[in-house]
Amino acid sequence: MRSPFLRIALLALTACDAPGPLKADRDAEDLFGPSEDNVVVVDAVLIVEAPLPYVDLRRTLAPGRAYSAETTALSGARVTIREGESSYVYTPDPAVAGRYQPPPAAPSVQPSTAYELSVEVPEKPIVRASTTTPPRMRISEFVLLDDDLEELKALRLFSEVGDAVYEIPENQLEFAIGALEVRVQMGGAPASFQFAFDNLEAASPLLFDSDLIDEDDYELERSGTSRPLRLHDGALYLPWDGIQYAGRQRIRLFAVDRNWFDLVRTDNVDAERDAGEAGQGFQRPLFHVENGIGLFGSASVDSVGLFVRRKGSPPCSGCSCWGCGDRSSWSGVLDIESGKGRVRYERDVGTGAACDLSYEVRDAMVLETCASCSFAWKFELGELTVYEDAGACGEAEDLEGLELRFEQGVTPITDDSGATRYELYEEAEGFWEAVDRGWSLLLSSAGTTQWFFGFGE
Amino acid sequence: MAKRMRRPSAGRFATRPVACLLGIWLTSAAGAEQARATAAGATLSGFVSSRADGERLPYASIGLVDLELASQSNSEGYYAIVGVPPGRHAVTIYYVGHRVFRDTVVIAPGQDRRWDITLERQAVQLGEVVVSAETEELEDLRHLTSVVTVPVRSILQMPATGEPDLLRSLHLLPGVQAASDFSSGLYVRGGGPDQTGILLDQMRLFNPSHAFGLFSTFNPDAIKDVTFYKGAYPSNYGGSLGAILDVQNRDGNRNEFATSGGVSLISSRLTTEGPLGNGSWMLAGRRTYIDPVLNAVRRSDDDLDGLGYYFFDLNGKVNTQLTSNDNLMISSYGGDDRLNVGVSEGADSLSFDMKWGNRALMGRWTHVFSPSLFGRLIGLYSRYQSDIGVDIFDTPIAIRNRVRDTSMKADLDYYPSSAHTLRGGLELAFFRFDYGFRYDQYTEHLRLEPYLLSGYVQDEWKVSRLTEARLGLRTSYYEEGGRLSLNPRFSISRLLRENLRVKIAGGGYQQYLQLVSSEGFSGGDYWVPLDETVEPGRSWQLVTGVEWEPSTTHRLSAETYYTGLANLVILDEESEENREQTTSEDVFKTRGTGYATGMELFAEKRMGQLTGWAGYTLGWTRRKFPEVDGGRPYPPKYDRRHDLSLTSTYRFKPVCPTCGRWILAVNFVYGTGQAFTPAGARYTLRDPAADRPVDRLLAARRNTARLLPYHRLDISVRRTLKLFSDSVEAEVYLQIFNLYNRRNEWFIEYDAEDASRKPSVVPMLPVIPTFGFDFRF
Repeated sequence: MRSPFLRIALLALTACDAPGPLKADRDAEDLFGPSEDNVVVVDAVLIVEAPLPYVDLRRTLAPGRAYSAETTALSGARVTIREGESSYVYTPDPAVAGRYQPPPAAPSVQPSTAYELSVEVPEKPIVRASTTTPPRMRISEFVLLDDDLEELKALRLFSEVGDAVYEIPENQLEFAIGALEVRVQMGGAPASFQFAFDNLEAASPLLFDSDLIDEDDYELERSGTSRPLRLHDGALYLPWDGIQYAGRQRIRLFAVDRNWFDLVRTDNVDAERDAGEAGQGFQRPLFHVENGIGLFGSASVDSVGLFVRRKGSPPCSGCSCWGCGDRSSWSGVLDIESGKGRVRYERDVGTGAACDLSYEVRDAMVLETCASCSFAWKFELGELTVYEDAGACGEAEDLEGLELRFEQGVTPITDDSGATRYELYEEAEGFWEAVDRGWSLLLSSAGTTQWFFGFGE
Repeated sequence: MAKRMRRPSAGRFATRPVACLLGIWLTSAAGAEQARATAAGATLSGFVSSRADGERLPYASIGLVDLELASQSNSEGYYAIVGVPPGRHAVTIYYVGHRVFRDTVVIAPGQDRRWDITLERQAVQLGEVVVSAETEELEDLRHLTSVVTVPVRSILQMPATGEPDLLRSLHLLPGVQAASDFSSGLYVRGGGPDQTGILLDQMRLFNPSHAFGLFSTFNPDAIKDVTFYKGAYPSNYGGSLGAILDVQNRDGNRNEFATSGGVSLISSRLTTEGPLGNGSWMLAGRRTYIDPVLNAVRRSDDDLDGLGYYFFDLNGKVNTQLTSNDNLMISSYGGDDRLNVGVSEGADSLSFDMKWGNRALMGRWTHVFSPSLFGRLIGLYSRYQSDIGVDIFDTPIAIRNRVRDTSMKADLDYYPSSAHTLRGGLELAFFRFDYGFRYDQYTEHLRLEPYLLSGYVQDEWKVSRLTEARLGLRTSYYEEGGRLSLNPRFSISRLLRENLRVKIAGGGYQQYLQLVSSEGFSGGDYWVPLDETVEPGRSWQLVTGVEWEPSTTHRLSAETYYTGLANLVILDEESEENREQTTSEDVFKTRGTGYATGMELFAEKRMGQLTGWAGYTLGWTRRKFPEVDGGRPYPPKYDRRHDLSLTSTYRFKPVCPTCGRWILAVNFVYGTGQAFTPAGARYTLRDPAADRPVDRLLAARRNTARLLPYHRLDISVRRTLKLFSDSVEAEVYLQIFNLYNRRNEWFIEYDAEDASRKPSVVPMLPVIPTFGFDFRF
């Protein structure tokens, strides 16, 4: 728009809004509907041939209220899963609020079997849900097809060579050349199938050139899932667009039950239906939970593994394909009752140069927390201990006396060994900002509660 | 996809539909004429046309006042009054925008009389035509319920968003609404745009919109007549659950060469017409010229490889009078939209190319078998196609859609007595639907070629001097699933006392083609025929009304309506991504039911310097699908409790007899806010495959909240001019859409990926001033 007159005219027209009562204006809070506060949210997935899973119970919060995953955890419930004549009464997990663990002697999840969940919460109707697990599913073949869908070669499976699938030449592929097909064997028909993609590298590059995707501003996830897929003649195309980064890829295939399928296909998250068609896509997912919402679903799962490199690049393995970069990280642990702890720095340049040191935490104290965080601490770095200095410590050795302020966010980022990790925030110039590649984790055991946190560089 | 390729039976009739229909048509005509020969009295018949340009005038009212005999010309301007006794009789004819014709006719004993009548156009100046048009336009059809004829000149004079538009003008009628400022789709009496059939010269237009729905495909300069049935439409129409919009293009000036057109900020229009032998021709075109602006934008941005958009449409018509009883007419329409966007940055490239449009061709032969028997034979072809090509990082995505309708129709209008007009006809339509999708290696292709055979009979019966009835029956056979339907329809009106009339109408309706559409935009919509896996949609309508004309200038009416709906379908966007959607059951959520009910009030001032109308609708609409919101009934987005529209035009007196005049037009609309689904809670639930918790927003029950009320004021100021020694009539205009710049709410956007973000409101169009110029010579 080069004409200044046109620009001014447009600005003037759009800037002056309708006056007084003619104006279409309202508070964003008014855009929320009737509140569905305090509804029980069930979260449990049974995997065939895996141990009976834990059950997470939470509750909903009115959309306008300050939200924290911790405050929504639902404790004091009686959780039972029944299978035929057997009944398994769950017990609260002391480490994670709102989590209930099955009895230690509970058997593995059986295929093609009905399971019923009941949750009794004081002063609420009993929450019930049921699932029938899919039959056992096994990936029998994993093949590469050409553009005419003729088979080019068969890739090896975990059942054949174990973790060597990531190394052997048959499973080394150039990105997006040909079509990948997974063939399955199964004793019956599940409701649907879904892939989950995991890139197992920490720092491999993107598989395609992209200036539009500025990695500083927008980072593609190394893990992702497909939409629900239907099996055709015992086979599924494995979409390349689930693979973004070079290196080892573990791809899990789930044969899912009706509850799982209905939730995923009607969910607003990742469906691009929240506003794509003038708001009509925003809808309530299909939950099969009586007196509550959530998922009590089941699946059979099998995996394939492969190694993907950029188009046109020669066969390689590990970080020799993309260079072994300088990797470093900070991590800390703080006893939240005594305020004692340490902060550790580790660095591996990849050329033999390395560093491993830690500081004592001193003068730790709790801070007033913000609306978007769970808790916050201020502390100083105290006495330094150097474990290894192979020419890579640099300024990291000179931080004694540095005051740091960190807090745990409310947005979960990963689920690690039964505990939920959250974003880590740091105060800088009076503002709290999320730390890039930061994480935060609160663990309780043997009567003490410790805060673990860290970030990569 | 190969499982459902072309069915052999679909083409079974293809080689002989013409012969088949022609045979039935001629046999029926002979039989009917033989029956009429026994009727008493003579028949007065002929064509009514305009003296100014020779256009045949449809639906003119013809009366023999002294005998209290009356008739109405048909869609081709032919009339017949049967049982006229010998002697001299006074004849009166009314038609929109023309002087009332008064004359006498002498009928000799036992002798039929053919009398082709021409009417004088009433006004010379553009503005004055509207006054008289609105005076009489509803006179002739007032015994029919829920039908509106729209004066074409008033479409041109209403305030608009840059470009005069037929469908947007219809939004001002009670019971009719738009989905948004961006959509010209018709939502009539609680029905979606898929429930209104839109015909241009009998040709079904599958996507009558340009610019993603911002404008309709109708060039207002080319239109002769607009008949809009908001409900309970008669049995000579079919294929829609709700309403019918029947647009006739001009035949062309039979007397002299004439040109009209207009220049607006969006596009230019030009219509030329003239005599051709014993007939006429007409050619009308329209094209946007935003291309240079977009080119300038593209040149200013190095990353933009391509940016272009235009639309055009062309209407053509040729007709010739083969004999005094035979007329041959060929009408055509073609229009396309083309959008392309290309972006590149470094090694990345994105491109988007979209093209969609309609092509339609119709040939019609009309023949007067005898004074009381008129027939028409129509062959038509209509095609809609859309092609979308997207290339993202060298990954091609292509969507291709073709819908084709090849039809033959044969109709007879038979006038056996002064009390009855019988109409009947047959229609055989072959549809071809072709859909292709390609994404990287994945391809999908679907083709379906069903045929639809329909027939109807209808009696327009003057039961008494005060009571009129229209009784009809329509039957259809749809090849997919062997669906046979029989739908009775009726309309009765009775004059209780002078100027006070009550009406009731109703009927059953069926729909075999389904629109795949988004409620946000009407561009890119397409139709698919339902197959045997899904029952065709059904509706039952009942309309009652009362109409009072306290004076010749004022008219008040009230109508109530109820529409029951069954076997509705909506697009299923929740199936598996790689599912081969081979059947309608796969493509749609099915077994929907619903209803729409309400009341419309209409007050109109038709004469004088100030003319206009006020319309109010009180309505309720509900839909229910087993697979939507747990099977609970919900109000669709377009459920609108209150809807008010006011439109008025003030014509200032010219200061001298030869001077031009100022015309001020104002529209105001108010409507209850549209329904939307709000968020009711926040919660955390694991993504089961990724095995990580996700913070989410919980949608409340479907459409349980409302946007703020919609209202808007539009204004236009026109000045009529005469140029070049009065040889050119012209108008310059300034119009302002949304004068007080209310940012009406379009939709609410929730961020499902980040539940902590506050929802935002996406507004509709701001104030938009435009200006332009219309001319005619």
